[in-house]
Amino acid sequence: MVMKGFSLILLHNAYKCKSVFYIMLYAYLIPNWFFPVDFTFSVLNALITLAVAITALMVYRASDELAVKRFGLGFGMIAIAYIIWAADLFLLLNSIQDGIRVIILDRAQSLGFFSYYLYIIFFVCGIVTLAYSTFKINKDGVYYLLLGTSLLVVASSLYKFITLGILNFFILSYISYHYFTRWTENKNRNTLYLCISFALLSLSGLHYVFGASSFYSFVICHTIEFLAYALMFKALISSLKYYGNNKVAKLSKGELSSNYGKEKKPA
Amino acid sequence: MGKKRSRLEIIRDILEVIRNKSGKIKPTHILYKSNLSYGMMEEYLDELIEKGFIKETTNKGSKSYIITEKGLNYLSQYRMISEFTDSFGLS
Repeated sequence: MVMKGFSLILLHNAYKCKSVFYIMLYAYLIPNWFFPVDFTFSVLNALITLAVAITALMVYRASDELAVKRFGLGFGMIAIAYIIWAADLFLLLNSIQDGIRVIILDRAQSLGFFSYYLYIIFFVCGIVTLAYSTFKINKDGVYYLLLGTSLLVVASSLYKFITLGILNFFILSYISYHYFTRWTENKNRNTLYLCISFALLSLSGLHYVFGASSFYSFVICHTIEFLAYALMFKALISSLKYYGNNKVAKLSKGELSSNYGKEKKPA
Repeated sequence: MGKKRSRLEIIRDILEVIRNKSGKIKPTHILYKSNLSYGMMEEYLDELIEKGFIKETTNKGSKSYIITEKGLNYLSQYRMISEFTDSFGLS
């Protein structure tokens, strides 16, 4: 019996292998009023991560720095994951409005379940790519090993979302620590915002672990997640303060331009 | 002693040296102006050629480097590039 005002989302995947019957069961309770809020959060998270990805790719285009490109691709994959999550929420929203209290997503609803797997794949690829972009090495083998191991850990688990939550916590905590050490070196306020943002994101992933036992863990963790991205967006806007400010005299085939000598040297 | 320059700062300095010489310069002038050892300068010049920021030309056996449109664009966007990579821990 589900409490009034709540919906139970049940992810159920049962299959038989030889004589063993495997069941993946994951459930979390969500207050009905939070569904449209969470949908809004997901859309905003997707837009913010997309903005970071596009900015990174713009910076890559100007600077040709591989680490920046990887960073942009990582955020691009996370943006896709949030778009998938938002689409799933939109479909669930319709079910809630029909008065359905228990929503079971099982293998029969292949599109629903498939989209959750896609979400997991894109999110894991995204955070692994971000983690790799913080390494001061340029070895494709290390990247593919990290990616393959992470995906295998989640794929081989019966409780995929719980494993995803724990993996997220581990990787995002490392990224947060990376930004903390960078902040101690450069004392850049935006770097501190990112450190806090990734720390909040790592905590928000724990909703997958506690989701079934705590009524409001879904609400609290998803709100923390949104606040983390809002902080990241603030860091992004602040880092773009010099966008389009600098004008450089164009030189034509080695000739002096009329502005040569008048421009200021960058600090 | 001043703070150690980052990679992006060194690239900026080299491109500025070339730009300030009307966009074309010989390797020895880069060596004097950029505060780099010969080996480091060669490494950076190879990287800049690979990225398309400069072009190498040879005239009667004499090598020189020309800054490209992409290199000028890097200089114009440098502050944004620097701020973004510094903020996001990518420098």
